Amino acid sequence: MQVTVKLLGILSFSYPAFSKFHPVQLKEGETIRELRERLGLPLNEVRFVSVNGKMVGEEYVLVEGDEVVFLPAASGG
Amino acid sequence: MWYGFAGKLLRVNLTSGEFKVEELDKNELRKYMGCVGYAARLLYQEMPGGIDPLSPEAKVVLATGAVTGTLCPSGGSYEVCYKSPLTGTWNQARSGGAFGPKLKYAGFDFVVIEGKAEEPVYVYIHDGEVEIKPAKHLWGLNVEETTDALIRELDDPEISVAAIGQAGENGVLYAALINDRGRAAGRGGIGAVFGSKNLKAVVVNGRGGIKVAHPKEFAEAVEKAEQWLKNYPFGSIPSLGTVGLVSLNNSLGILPTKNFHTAYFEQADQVSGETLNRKYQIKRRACYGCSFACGRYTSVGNGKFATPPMEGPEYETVDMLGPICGVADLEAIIRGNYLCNVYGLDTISTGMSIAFAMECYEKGLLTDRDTEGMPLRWGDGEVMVKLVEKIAHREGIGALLAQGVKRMAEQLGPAAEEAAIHVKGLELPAHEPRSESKVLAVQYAVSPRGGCHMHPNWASTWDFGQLDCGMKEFGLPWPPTGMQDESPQKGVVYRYVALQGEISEILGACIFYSWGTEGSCITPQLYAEIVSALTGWDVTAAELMTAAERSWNLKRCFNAREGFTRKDDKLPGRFTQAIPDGPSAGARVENLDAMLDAYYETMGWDRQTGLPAPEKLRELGLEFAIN
Repeated sequence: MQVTVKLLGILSFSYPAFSKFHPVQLKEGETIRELRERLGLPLNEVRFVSVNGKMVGEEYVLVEGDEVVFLPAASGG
Repeated sequence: MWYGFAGKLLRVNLTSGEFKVEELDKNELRKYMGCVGYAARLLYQEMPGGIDPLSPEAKVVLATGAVTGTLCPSGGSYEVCYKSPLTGTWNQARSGGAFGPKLKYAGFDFVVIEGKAEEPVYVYIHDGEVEIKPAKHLWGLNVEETTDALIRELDDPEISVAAIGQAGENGVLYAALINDRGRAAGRGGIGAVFGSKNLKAVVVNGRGGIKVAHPKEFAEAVEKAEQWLKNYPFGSIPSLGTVGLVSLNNSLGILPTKNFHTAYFEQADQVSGETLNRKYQIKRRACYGCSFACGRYTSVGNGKFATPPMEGPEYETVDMLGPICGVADLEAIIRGNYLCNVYGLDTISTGMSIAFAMECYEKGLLTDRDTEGMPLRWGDGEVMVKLVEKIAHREGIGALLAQGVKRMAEQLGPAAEEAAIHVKGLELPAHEPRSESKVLAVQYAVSPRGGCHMHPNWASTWDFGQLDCGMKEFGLPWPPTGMQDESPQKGVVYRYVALQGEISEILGACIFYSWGTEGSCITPQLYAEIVSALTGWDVTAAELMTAAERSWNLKRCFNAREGFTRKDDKLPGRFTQAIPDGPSAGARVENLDAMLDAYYETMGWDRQTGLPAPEKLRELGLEFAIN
């Protein structure tokens, strides 16, 4: 199964290829947590995760074609 | 002997051309802790209600705090406190750069400006000396030209210049005061107040020091802060600046777009922090002593928006001159930001006034006859840049826009009201109260300067940021609920968020440093350690909280005296309507009144009037503010 993954902001600095949606092959039934660990993204650096434009939790089970965005914490004035 | 403070207040009377230096009273200063707290006391006691903010009777306080200019890494700011001509409320505008530290090194914690000069002047403060000098030759120059001219005239490249540009001279109601070329005391129209006083600039330089009561303990406390800040939760601030928020907010559906019509901008990638960093950024810029360096230094090499190297844009400016006007061209945004800096304009109110005009044009409330044939279409970067020019010079349609959206709507009639996105006359900034944070919705309604995301705090730290900022021990509810949750508890939460922010205000500290948790930011407890070692006072976090509450209540009393009550604590009607599209589609504000009830109650304020109860004011030693 294939999903596409994008890393926003500083998360993309270590993996520039993921600054745009980039395909990732997964096994059926894998969750956001497994995907995050596979990408080597520490939990404390990921503040939000969205799939197809909606916020999801770590237990979300991915399906073919999902568009996943990992977002860091950010703030501003 | 003073530690941590210069111990002096400079009072400049522009009408008489005289000045005097006053010794501060230690007990009175400590009661308010300094900076905004003490400035609130000065303005409350010295400026009766009902004074026209653009009249000679109006006073302005330039304020620094205990940590300003010290090794404490958040000490690069100063605050300008005054009554706003845009809103008629209390206002305080914080600015970074080096002006605040240099004012303190020159020997003054505060400058009070009174009266009106007959001819244009500037005030030159250097190493305890004060001169009021003619500025006729500077009138009509922009901020950059003024700064260059003053450096030549005073033959000192190290001066820090806080000046107004043409916008302030022309009385644009949201004209800013710009220091160090690109740092703005932006909101509320302080530039127009300076202009009304014929005051072109305040120039400072100082080579004196600030004495520290317990140097070893102070160095240790600052080192502890530096260590904690290595774990700062917002790692993107140094690398992407605040503009890093653009892509993040868009992905979450919280990026204000097209005059808050929606919260999602299709072309956000074109104006993101990542794009700015890759294509236009020369380097980062920091305020005095800051290790974050959230500032950007950018330029546009060529083309119709060619712009010389300048400080900015930050997140607010990108959204306000970009998505809020439907503009997806970062070069136009950089150019617009540059013009705001040199003419001296608040980029937030400027962008919102332009967006308001674009919406009115779309609805036929403004026509080509009003705009001298210039179509005000969403997304037109060239029009946005032209309007910045026209606003600064109050030329053509710019004269209308220069009044801000509240007054514009009053002139264009009831149909325009719906497009006027402001609270108490202050245009809202680039944070979405429907989907980012309902604590923020409370802040917009009650902030003493009107619709504001930064004074006294970025109110989203609890539900959006999931951060306690050291406030749990004082009773901050925990754990946080969701960003869109609207339970009355959010009103209770706002009390803690506000007072935690007010601690930074009374210490003269940059608010960014206070976001985190124990071990990752400067908490009130750590500030107490820093301030104790610095001043020699045995300050606890609880004392900081009480002083913060005193300051917060006194500003509410200042506004009460101007006639503001609970009836003015409201949000634009647009926020009761659902966000139409994007990731947060459907979000709205439905329960503001219940959140406000809970907030007033936890503050010890009357629910009906929203004003501090007499017993609360007595408890805080503010008897003089009881009506």
